[in-house]
Amino acid sequence: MNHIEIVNLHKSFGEKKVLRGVNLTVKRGETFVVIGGSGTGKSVLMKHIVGLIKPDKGDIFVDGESIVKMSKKELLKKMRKFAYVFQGAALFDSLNIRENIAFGLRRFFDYSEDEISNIVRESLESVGLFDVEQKMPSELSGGMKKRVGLARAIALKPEIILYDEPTTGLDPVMSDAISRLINQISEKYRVTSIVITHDMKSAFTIADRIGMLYQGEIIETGTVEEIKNTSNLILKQFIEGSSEGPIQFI
Amino acid sequence: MKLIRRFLNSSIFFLLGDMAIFSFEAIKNIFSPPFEKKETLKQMFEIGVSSLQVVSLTSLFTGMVFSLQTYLGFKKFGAEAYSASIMGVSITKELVPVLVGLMVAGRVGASIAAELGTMKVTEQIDALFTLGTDPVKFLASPRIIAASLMLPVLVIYGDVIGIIGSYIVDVLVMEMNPTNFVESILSHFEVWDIITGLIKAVSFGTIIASVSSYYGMRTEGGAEGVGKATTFAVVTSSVLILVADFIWGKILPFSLKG
Repeated sequence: MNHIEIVNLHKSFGEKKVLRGVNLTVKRGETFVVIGGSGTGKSVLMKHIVGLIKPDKGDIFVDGESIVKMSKKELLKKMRKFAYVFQGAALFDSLNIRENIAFGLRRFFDYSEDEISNIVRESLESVGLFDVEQKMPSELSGGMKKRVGLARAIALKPEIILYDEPTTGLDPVMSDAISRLINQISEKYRVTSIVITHDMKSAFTIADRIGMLYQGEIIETGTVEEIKNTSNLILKQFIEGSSEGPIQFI
Repeated sequence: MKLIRRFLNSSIFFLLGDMAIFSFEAIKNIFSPPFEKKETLKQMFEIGVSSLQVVSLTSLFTGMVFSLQTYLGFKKFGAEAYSASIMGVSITKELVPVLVGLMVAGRVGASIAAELGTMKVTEQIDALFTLGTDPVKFLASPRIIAASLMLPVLVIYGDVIGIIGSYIVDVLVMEMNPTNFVESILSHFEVWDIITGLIKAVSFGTIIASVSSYYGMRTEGGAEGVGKATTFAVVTSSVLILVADFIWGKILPFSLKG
């Protein structure tokens, strides 16, 4: 059963056409990875899914309901089902780690302070962080911030988690740790996940299916094995990380 | 027709329209629950208490220099005894509200635009939305309430300091009789002068917070974008304060006494 369906999505910024008819379906409980070069519109696509950007044309359905046609109020209510892990973690500078994670809990639920403390501690422990509740985001390393971002997401027990470049800017060991963590979260909480990345090692570790975004369209989708054995020259060049091939990078 | 359309679509019209829609939404949100009490109190402290120093200095020296010039000017006609009478009116009605507004636009407006601009470029504003929170309601509305409540308080404080500045120059430097100073100030002064200043202060606070929040939340392009947003916020707020001051000057009656 399709959990998320993107139909003929178009978006331009001024003269620049970023999305030119994206079609995509993501099944319930599936981890779908969108790969593509820098500046190809992966983050723009992701922000459409939660209604942060309105498309010029096309629609997005979550559980059969159109995200595009929802009012701001309805969208904010719908966010209860979502969690978004931002590229730079997007932790609130002025709040400590506990308050960062508790923020969404206070907005969506009527938990007592004791319950919030327990959820915050459990969420942090599940991403391998201990005794950081009272620290400020500026006191944490990049990898730790990303893990707090994950903890903030899972604390809400969402149905859908969207990951924006979860391993970008991390060292290879930390990248692998984050990829494994995403796998664990998917299995433990049975969430539907959409991950955008250009880190192929991470993509192959976490994906059930992979789709490549190129020149504003999804040019191919398939399982990890299908993508590895593709005959599509663009996809092949991207996976191999070669500068020679049909992808124009200048 | 084409020319008119192009004129209406020009960037200044788009900007003013977008700013007006943003401000209307932020002000409308003030009256609908949930009320962001904690954030509003925090902003009231930020805007009010933190501006005391700059308001004190501005009001004191404005009162002093205006008193000095008025005294010397009136002395040419032998009318120096009346110089203080103009002080009460001009300080409470015009000088302090406008100068406090401009100083707060510089201090608080810049701080609001820089803070929200940084939140925008680091995706914290997007994060608020995905956590079920309307960013305009959570960030802009409390700042508008706080600024429009705290500006009048700062103006009353500035009025007192400005008149003290005037007293220092007239009585201590120019050796005017203290009783004459007080009598002269009270002779042409009415409560309406203070009320006029307070009405202006509320509108200046609304302008500063909504314009600065607008530029902050529309920031694009990293550190450079934050810098530009801060500059535009201060310049636009300052210009709009001066325009609003003139409009209030035309709308509000000069005196309520006949």
